[in-house]
Amino acid sequence: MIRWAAVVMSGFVVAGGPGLAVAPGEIDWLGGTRDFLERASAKGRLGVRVGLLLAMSAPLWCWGRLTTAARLSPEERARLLAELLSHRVFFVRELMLLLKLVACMALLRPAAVRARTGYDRPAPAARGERLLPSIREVA
Amino acid sequence: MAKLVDEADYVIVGTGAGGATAARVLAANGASVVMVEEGAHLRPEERPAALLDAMRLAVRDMCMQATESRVPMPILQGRAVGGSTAINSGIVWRLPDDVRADWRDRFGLGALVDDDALERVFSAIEDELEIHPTEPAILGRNNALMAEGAKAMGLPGRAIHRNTRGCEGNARCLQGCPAGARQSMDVSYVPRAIADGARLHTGCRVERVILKRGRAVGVEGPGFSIRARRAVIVAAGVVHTPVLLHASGVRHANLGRRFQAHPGVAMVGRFEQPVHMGFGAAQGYEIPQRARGFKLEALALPPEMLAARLPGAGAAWQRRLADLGSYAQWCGQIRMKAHGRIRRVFGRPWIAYEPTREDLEKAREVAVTLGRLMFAAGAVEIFPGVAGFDEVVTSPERLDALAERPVSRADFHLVASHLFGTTSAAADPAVGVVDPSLAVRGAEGLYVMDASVLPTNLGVNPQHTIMGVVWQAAERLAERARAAA
Repeated sequence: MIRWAAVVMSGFVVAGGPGLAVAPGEIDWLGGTRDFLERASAKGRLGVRVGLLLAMSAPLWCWGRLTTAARLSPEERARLLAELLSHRVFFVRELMLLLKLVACMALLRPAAVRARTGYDRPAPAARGERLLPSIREVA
Repeated sequence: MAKLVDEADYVIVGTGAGGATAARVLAANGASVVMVEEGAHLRPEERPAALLDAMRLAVRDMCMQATESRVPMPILQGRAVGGSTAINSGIVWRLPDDVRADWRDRFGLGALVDDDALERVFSAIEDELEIHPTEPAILGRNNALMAEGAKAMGLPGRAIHRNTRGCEGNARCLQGCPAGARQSMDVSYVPRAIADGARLHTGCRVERVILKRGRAVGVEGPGFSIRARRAVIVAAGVVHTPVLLHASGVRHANLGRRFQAHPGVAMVGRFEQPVHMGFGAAQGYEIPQRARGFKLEALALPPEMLAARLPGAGAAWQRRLADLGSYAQWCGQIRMKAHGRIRRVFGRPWIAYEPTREDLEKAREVAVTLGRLMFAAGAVEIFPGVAGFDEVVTSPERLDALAERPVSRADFHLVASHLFGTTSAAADPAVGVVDPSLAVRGAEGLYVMDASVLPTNLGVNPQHTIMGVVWQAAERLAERARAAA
């Protein structure tokens, strides 16, 4: 089942797609999932495993296609995962969100990828501008 | 491995806001104290930045503790020295006057929450933990934008009062402050109690309070046994305290009942100007809406959680990820009316808790208000996170549809971190598992000193109230011991 993790976790991003660029091999999806499974509580491990099973078999029970997520194109796989993330059944949505969180942990682990997201504030000196209004200005 | 054996006047189970405050007061009064903690003692420099490691080390069940329900609700609690104070944002609110009056009138707790006495105690705690409003220099844009939204909507916001010393605004409160700036119990009252002679045993999960002929004489768990000469004080938290008492043979009709919470909903919005959530106080601005039954707060997320919170997968999601510095997240803590129950099932807590219809409508009101606030602050799009509704909303007018939409429990991602009740205090023996001195009814030398004694939820962050109430009770315990000596 752990091999499915690479298929599903990498399915959230499309290599060479628009937006956040991820080079082939830059993200260790399998390692990230293994790390989570090693550290997670029993409930968390169960959630990931059930989520992977649901995601892999979703082409069948979601679209009626006799295939697995592994055999879909990257674009179709991403579309499938997006559908599962907004599925009408709460448990499906929640388990997909858990998989997405595990994927994010793997995705943002390399410092270079995190830096490309712009989450962290650039050093103010380098920007040469004042980023913080005082509370008096905004209250 | 040799069994750990120890002995003290007072054995305190748990080192969160309640346990650590009891230890600080009793040790300062010359009593010998042993603190027993299930989790680890993490030094600030050992606090990992990575979300996974931080959750594993300090959060119970890695955030997987949840209500037992068709739609489970995560229940967040710390599991380390400092308890939940080691993973919260250090927000401080005094006990609201209306709640104080309610506890005095309905639960007979007038002496415990006496105005003058609590004033003295709150002031002492505020001095010791250096409570002050979040400084403008470390406010950060996630908080500042909320202030701008509040001003635009005419809502009464303010900088959050926090227990920090030298905060650098690294936005890592939830993972555990790596600078030791937040004055959580692991860096404040636990070390202070140790300096006054208390001892701390970590990695010790107490499974039973030993009761002999109705008197608590110690605690035990795998590989340890600790004897209490005067009293055992249970401060294991709202979920585990009733379970531990039940496992120890304590029985009361309300044990585990009256569970209440402040579940929260959150919303993310995208702004054209940079937000850079990675800088600033994790929670530095709030908008109290007490009359409406909720409080809005800015809440910075670690990047992994923020990324997972953005809707979609594939190209649309990747575009958003490339601009992760443009998002703000705010939340609303709801004073829900629902009551739940904690039971011991196969030795583990079983949490039954379901928001009422009115609570869900309140969650919808919070979502709509957060959305309007974000647009008022300049958001170009928001992600309401309400299932079945638009994933992306680009105009405040569209929120009118959300305001009128019927809601069900499964529509919301509710998360609860402020917990109350389960061994509620009351003068009436039929109501209170503990009496107004926080002594467990039906057992001698056994006390509960954590949020589980609070008979109702508060509508504000509970840490300060827990500490104030426990300080009062611990001082009286010390006075009684002195008088008896």
